Amino acid sequence: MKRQIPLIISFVCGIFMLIQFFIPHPGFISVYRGILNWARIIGVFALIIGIGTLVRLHFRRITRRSPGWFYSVVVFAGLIVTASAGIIGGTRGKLFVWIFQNINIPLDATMFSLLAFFMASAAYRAFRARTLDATLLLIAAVIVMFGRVPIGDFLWQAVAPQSWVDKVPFLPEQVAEWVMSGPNMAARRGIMIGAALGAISTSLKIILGIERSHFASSSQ
Amino acid sequence: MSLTERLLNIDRRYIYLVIAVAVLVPFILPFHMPVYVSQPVRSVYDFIEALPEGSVVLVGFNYSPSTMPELYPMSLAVLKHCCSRKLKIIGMTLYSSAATIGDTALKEMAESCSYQELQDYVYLGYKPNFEATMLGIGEDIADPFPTDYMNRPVTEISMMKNIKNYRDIALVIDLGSGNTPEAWIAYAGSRYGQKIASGCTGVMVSGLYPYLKAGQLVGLIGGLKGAAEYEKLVKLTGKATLGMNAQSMAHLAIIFLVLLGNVVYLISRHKARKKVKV
Repeated sequence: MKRQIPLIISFVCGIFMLIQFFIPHPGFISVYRGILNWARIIGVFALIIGIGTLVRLHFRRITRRSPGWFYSVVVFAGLIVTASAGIIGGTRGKLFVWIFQNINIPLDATMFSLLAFFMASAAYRAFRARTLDATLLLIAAVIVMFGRVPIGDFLWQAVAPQSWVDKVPFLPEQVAEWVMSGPNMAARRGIMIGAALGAISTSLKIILGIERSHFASSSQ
Repeated sequence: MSLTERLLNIDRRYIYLVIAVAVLVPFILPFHMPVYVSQPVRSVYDFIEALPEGSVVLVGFNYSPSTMPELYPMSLAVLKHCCSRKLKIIGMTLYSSAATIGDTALKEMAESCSYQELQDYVYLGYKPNFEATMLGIGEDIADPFPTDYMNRPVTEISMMKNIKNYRDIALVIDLGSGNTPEAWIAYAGSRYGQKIASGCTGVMVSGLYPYLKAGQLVGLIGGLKGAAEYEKLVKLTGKATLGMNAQSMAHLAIIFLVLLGNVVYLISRHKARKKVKV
């Protein structure tokens, strides 16, 4: 029963969602809207599970005095203070907005901006023209990096002969655009069509109960 | 140790220093560079420009604070354009961490162009499970959003009186850093025929080109460059335009490092082959 009930629910919901698309009957629409509401309600539980996992993990690190346990205290402090500010003062409350604008945004932006440094270091060490494929990738990357910023056009207009500049004043940008809308798009379309076919096949397998890896264990 | 060996094993901190200098110098010594407006960005601008006054635009602020430097200036430029065209704006987010971002951006826009909340714009806030939310808007916007960000019933908001679902919305603009553009296309575009424009981070641009060329997106504003292009179109000197210099120099520095790395690699390989022959 533990496996059969979820399998039946998956089958009924999957088939219903499939056929309701083609039957715009008020009864079907009403059930469909009900299912969408359920889906949103279930989505909220993902947040609760996330917070629960975060609390459990960091509580364990503090009680065991694991290396860096002090940072777990900071996590708890952040969680309690921010949640309290939002619940008591509201999401437009001064403290809540202040925390978001002066702590959350700078910290998050700092973490993300570090990527530029790591990427530059990794590109210097690993982006090598070892094979023909790697060389093509390298050339495409340089063209796009050069064309996707105004300095590409600026240098082109400063260095190239005037007659060429008059004909194509924004050549680097246009070449980068061609790389994106030509070779890049062709490759992307192939990948996307493959992924979509895979998603359809997996969805059908889940609806029909052939694919069961989303249960606790495939061996059960 | 030879020069090539030293360059091959260079301390990564020197590379960090090069990038830091490349990013900082343009802020200390600013200079002007021409910004070319690409067709995907112009398409978004033209579409909004062609909308009649009072049309409804749904703006999704679907990005976290980490991508704010790219997407926040873009949000402001797009919102400024919408309010200059006197369009009604519905703001919302599918990211819990973006709830305050959308609210702040709309308030900033409202201050600059005298827009009144609940009359000219409404902010609905955050809802989880974006597939269900997008599909829900297609049936009745009050299903996923029974109240706005400040818990006021949506059905009682004057601006929302005649807005029920996608049929009443002229354009969805997704300003996102994740997979929300694809979801809008699948759930709002394909199912309800909704027109969609996307503003995304630089790294997402290549992945959205197939949708753009297939006509599933009316236009695409990509990264800080796209934001700068949009600022140029709406005649705004915002943070994207100012940030273009730093991004230009950083790109140049990375191109230089990649080329240097390859030159050094080829020299060392040539030397190694020579040694083997000897």
